Amino acid sequence: MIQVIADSLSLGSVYVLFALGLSLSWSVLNLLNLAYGAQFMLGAYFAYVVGNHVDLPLLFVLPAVMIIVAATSVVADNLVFRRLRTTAGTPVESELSMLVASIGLAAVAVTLVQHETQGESKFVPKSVFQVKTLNLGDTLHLTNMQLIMMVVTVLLTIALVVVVKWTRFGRAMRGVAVDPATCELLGVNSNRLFSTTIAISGALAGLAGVLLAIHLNYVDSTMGDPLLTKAFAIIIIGGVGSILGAAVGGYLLAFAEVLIVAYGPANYRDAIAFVVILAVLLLRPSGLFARQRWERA
Amino acid sequence: MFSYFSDNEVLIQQTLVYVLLAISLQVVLRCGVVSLASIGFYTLGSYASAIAVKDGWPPVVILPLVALASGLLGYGFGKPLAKLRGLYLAMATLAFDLVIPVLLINGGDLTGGALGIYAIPLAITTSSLFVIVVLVILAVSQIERGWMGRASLALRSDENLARSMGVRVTRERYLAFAISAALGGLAGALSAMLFRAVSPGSGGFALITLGLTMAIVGGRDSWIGAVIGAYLVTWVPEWLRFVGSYRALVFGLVLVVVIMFFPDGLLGAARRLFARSRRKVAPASRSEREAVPV
Repeated sequence: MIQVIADSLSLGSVYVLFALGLSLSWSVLNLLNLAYGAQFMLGAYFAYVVGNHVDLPLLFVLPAVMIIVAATSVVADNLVFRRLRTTAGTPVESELSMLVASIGLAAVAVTLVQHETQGESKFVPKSVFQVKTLNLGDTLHLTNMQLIMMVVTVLLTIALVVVVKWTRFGRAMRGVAVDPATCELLGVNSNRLFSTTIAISGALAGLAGVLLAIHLNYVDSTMGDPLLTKAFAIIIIGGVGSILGAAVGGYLLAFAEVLIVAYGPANYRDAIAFVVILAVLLLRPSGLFARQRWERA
Repeated sequence: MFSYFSDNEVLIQQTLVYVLLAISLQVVLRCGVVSLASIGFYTLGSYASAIAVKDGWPPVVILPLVALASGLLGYGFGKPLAKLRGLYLAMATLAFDLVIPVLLINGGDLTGGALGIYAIPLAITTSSLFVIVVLVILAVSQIERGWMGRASLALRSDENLARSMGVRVTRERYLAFAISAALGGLAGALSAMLFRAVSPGSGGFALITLGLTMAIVGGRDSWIGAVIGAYLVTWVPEWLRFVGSYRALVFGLVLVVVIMFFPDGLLGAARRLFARSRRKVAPASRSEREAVPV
């Protein structure tokens, strides 16, 4: 049982790490970013590239990769999403066109990496990080990477809550999410804010990609897709834009999956996320923890 | 001429099936409802028809039955889903599309697990497929031109205004859902009969990307856009053999460029170009129109 809890905590950390950035860009930019899985994959891929070219530890590789992925997402925002935000006739139109554009961008990134790796799976070199298994007591086994992921997730969640809740930047971010036009009048540079948000979201995707690539010891052009649907489930459980909700949702989903693998029909593991999405959306569309109703109904 | 048809028969069949799939997405997108549910119905329809054909049912019975059942299911889904807006609806229908392959993999002997169902007897000819698609297009184009088509356009641009003009918003939504589901199911049923194999991997994310590309690139305001989209998606890969493994990249770029610069698709761009060239010939007509007091 202790192992089940430990496994769900480490799996849940991966889910939460991945979902945070997606939730952020959804709530602030109204962007259902289907390219987020590709950004995550880019993080993993760049860790493999950087790790093979320079002999530096994780502490240096990780920030470098996060900056690269953040930069690619800012470029995508400036070139594509900004135009779609401003030129579309209605909010529904702009949401749809951003969703479609993100599918296109994902296809571009995935194909490029597929081509570079010749469709083979790679791994981040050992010089970046050496995974070791730690035996904590008789029944509990965790790797040092799993511990790092848990700690990073908790710290990041707290940091994001603090930033969004109590800083000037966070207030502007929440304001722009509700009414960009009024925020502009109040002196918020909404385009810069959108770029910053998408940069943070990209950096988080890159971070999750690097850590998970090391944890699973594999880098592959399609590694982001299965996580994407799980992240959607997590965001739906927690409510869009809610950071704590995403954290709770991530750990809940991981716990349910670990339980079904350990005791139930393991084949249905991947169905849980979808059933959760449908059930929550139909029964309690504002998410399990939302205090105010978002514009869904 | 005949050798052209027989050489390219599979591609022609593919195009015809894709036309139906693209129309099924357009029907909902046109009323401003981002629902991707018809992709799921495509997969369901293909399995239902695969099982029925193997059981010896005649296609004349299967096709209407699958379309009707999908339509009814779609109408049923419409009820709870009508509460959701925008991205939440996209999300819910995406989940529906993606859960179906998981269920099919675990469906045991009935669905053939991860391998799917293969060696389905060929149950339909290209010409009857062509007739079906033409019939669907006729029906859809009548709907487009009629009251419902105008109502859905009004719904897309301003829901409250549409309501105040007497459009029964909820009913239009249900209807769009039902038609979309029925067409998705029908397209799936036809695909199983033509290509004689169905597998859980053929649904899911790839099919969603493909369907959206067809519905958007051609132009989502008319069935002509669906035909253009289906044609391009099927034939461009043949022309682009030289780009080899970069094909998906070209598709992605095209999708991004079209959505950015031609949001109403190639058809919309062509129409605007045509309108502009006509205006150059008779510039007076435009000022006349503008002079009419509103």
